[in-house]
Amino acid sequence: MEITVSQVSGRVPVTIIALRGALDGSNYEELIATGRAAHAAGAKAILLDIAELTFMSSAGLVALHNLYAILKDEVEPDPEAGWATLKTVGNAGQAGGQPFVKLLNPQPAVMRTLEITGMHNFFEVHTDRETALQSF
Amino acid sequence: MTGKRSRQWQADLTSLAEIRAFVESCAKTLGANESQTSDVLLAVNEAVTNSILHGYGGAGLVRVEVDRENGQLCVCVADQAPPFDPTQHITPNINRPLDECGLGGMGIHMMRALTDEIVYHAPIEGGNELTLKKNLSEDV
Repeated sequence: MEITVSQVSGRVPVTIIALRGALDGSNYEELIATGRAAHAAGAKAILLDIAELTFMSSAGLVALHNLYAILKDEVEPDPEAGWATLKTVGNAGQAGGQPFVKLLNPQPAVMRTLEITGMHNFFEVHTDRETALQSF
Repeated sequence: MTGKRSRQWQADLTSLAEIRAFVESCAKTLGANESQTSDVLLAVNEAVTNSILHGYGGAGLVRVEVDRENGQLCVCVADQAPPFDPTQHITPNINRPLDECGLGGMGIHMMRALTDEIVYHAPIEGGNELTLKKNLSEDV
């Protein structure tokens, strides 16, 4: 998986993390490390551009949730704790998202992962880059 | 083509991409469409990941067999890890507080949601065989 990080300074500065390839158990910790580094550099909002992400497993969801926890300044959950790592979300099926991590242009296979786990309700999904940036 | 295809990998997370490529190639050859193939890839990925992380927790081998039987794409994930039957695992309700869901439940929930049938077999010589089945045709 390739990870590219860029920054957009608008109404609210947004860090864009673009993913290319497959996000699974072999590399999800790289995404967490990228989010941690971005946060250390001052990032308060992350837009994950996943237009070129072809596959995302449950490990990817764990990474997404860790990014959320990092930006929310929560104690990071154990990334190897599986479903339990998402506990602090409170309720995965709960309507309404959070303002820290949002998703841009998921492919159908990735959207499927989000939908069958209810995570599309927690991570706001956008199909237009400018609209996504303005939403923060 | 209807013959069974089988390959074996080291139980290592770096094998996941190769395993998905193998299953994708077999699934398409056996007549699965894009959506069916995508669902099976994700389910198999979760099964193999569980075997590697929660089954072995170390070195071992994972064998993946792909076949088409009675209008279903059947993918068997076999290992020599201590016996664990995921079909007996309670499905987490994603609409309930996540605190009530157990460890590892996410992958099992995904396997169930993405396939039509899951069959677990504990061979007498040890290990686990988990077969994920996806309906391919309307005559099932």
